[in-house]
Amino acid sequence: MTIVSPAFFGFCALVLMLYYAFPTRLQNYLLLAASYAFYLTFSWKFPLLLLAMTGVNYALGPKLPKGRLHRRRWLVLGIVFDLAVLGFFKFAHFFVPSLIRLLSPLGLPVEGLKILLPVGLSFYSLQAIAYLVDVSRGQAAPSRNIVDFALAMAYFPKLVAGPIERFRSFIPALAAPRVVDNAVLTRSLTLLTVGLVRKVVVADTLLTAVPSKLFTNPGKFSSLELLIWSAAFIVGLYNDFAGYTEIVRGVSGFFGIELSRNFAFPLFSRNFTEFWNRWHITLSHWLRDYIYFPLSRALVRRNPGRFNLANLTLPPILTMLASGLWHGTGWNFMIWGFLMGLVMVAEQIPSLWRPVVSPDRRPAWRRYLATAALLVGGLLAVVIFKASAPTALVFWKRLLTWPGGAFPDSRVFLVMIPAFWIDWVQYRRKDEFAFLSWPPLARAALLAVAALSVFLFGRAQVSEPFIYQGF
Amino acid sequence: MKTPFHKPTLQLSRPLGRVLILAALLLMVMAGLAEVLARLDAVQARLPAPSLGSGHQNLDLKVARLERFIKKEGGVDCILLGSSTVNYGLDPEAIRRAYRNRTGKEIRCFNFGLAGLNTPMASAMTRILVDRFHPKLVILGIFPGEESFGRAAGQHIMSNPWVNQQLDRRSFNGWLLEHSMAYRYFLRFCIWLKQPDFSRSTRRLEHQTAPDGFTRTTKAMANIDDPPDPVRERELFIRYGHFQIAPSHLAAIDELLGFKSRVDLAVVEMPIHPTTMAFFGRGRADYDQAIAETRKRVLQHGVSFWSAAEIKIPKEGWWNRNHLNVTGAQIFSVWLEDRMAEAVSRGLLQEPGLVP
Repeated sequence: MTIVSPAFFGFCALVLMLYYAFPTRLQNYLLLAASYAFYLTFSWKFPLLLLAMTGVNYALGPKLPKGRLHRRRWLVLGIVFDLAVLGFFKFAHFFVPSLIRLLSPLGLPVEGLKILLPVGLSFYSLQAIAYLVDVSRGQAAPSRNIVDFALAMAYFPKLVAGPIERFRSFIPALAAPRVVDNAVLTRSLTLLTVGLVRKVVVADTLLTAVPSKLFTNPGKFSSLELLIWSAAFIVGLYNDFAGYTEIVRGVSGFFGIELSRNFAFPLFSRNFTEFWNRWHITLSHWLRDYIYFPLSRALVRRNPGRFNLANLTLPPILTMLASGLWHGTGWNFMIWGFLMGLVMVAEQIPSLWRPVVSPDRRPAWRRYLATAALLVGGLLAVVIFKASAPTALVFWKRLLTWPGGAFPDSRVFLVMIPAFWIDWVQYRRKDEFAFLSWPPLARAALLAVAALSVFLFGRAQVSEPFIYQGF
Repeated sequence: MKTPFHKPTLQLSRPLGRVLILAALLLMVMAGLAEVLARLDAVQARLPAPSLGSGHQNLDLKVARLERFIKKEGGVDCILLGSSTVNYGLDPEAIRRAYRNRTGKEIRCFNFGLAGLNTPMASAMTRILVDRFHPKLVILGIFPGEESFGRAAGQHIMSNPWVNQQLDRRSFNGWLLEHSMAYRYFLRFCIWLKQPDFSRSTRRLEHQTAPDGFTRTTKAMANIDDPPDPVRERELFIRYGHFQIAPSHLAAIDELLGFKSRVDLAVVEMPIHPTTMAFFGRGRADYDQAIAETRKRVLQHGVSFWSAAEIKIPKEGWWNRNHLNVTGAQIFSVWLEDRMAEAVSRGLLQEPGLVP
């Protein structure tokens, strides 16, 4: 069941009706059952895995607070378990062919064996690791309520693709009574509407327009086409993920459960450090809190001093390598992570000699130039994210040697206008609910236009052309 | 003030939903206004033809043109149905002139030739055309060999929600396409936005296609009398080389001819250049067998079958080996009108025209 589908919204409506009717003490049971039912629609095997991970992490929680015997061993065991599960499924395509070669002579039915990455595993495994670490650090209490804990792991709006919630705040929120009043309803509806516009009108249109061979056969395209379509891809990708997050946050709001914000106008960033604090925020903060900071602290303890090369380079590079690995298992993701890490090292270097000046306090021309530079950098980086390493080299070479070429027919970019406009309105007020400050008639008009656009773009089925050559 | 929706979790209070109600009203006004505008002749004259989203090169155009034709003419008397051979090969205006000259009456003819249309699809389209547009006469132009090619076109046509809606396979999208002109214009906008190349080629086709559905081309094939080149025309040798009469073609002929009780029918063999026979594996024998088999079925149903064997199209009348250009279409259309007149005089067809 995909998030943007009539089936999903019908499912939510049904669960909501029951939810509001249920007494507070039973609502979490309902949500838990609904979450597993939702997960079952993907595969009957996935909930089994989730159940197993829930059980293991829940059981380990009470063994981790300070003063418990062998707590470090239990922590390591828990992290290794969670990473092993994630790694097994993520790296399955590496070892499955060897497994098939090994087992098929034994007459076992392994031909065509495939191990699918369970939907959402990359997200809830990180949540589980964060829970174990937080408990061991004393930043969270071990959960004593299996239903609340299981719900925190499985909660269906965030199950598929986050946000990556921290259980130290999420579980208490689940345990507390929830209220959905006019303000919560309005904000949830706003998130849902904006999310649908981003996903259905902007992202789906842009991403289907991007040529399918752009990142597999860049030699077919001129430099200008590579540039323009890469930009379209980035905007499409951003609106796709941001739209999805806003939709699930909106849906969750109807249950009175607030999910974390994941995007804060990243395309207005002035450097990559700022960018990674605005793009997929919950992942960035997870990486910061569970890899970057611990690594930095450990290195500083070992090598005190500002100008130590290892202190400067290892935390950002290893953190971004981990990010690359989380996103995918190909070498291109590792290269992407490494390059991102290098960029972040480079951004830190000026701060070694002079005080850090916030980008907000710089002159406007420098801010705009910085944003433009960031967008160019992002464009180059997305290539290695999407293409294999050799293909990325071809792409970059073609782009940077600039034989030019004709401007592609990019009328589809018209849909980027509402996307940028939404971001601009929110960015100016530094408030994702900026539209709620508009007069009621303006809000109503905007809502009507948004609803009509989502309906039309979502409904419009235009088949692939059948071009007849005359026979 | 509390509302009835005041539970432990849901604590809504008045005023509630003001903006939502206002938005709903505005939405209805916007949708209504768009629908009114989309139906105005002045607006339609300035816009490209609306789309059914089929992806088929001229299905959307022909349906839109036929609807406008009927609105302007008050109805349609005769529909010319078939593949691109009909699309380029039969000129309703030429038929109209010839008919007027002979009878003094008017006949409202529309060319509904669709690229790649094969007989099974033609049968489905006949049902749709008869149910929806009520012509008095449907003339089906056939060219053996369409069956193998027609599957791709058929998928586009038969998967289209509007087509399915007409065939009682209803859906919300089909309902929208049937009832909302604004939605169809939106689909055209989507094509313009997302498929610029297809949009451009569709626009070129619109310019080439007359209000009566006839698509005119003035191109003429040089050296058409020369035998086909197995290298340059290799694809056609492959397509027709293993030609066999498809059972689906014969079954569809039977099904189509079953509409005889509801509309006058006639079947015409579309002209092809004699050199086309070289593409068929057994040459003329394959082609003649297909025509003979089809003719037999048609005559068994008591429907007229008009063979193009006797007609002579000059070499400047051919766009390519099996498509006429505007010159050839003129000749063939006049010939067809003559066949129609003969059928009417023999009582095989009712007089399709109107007194002006």
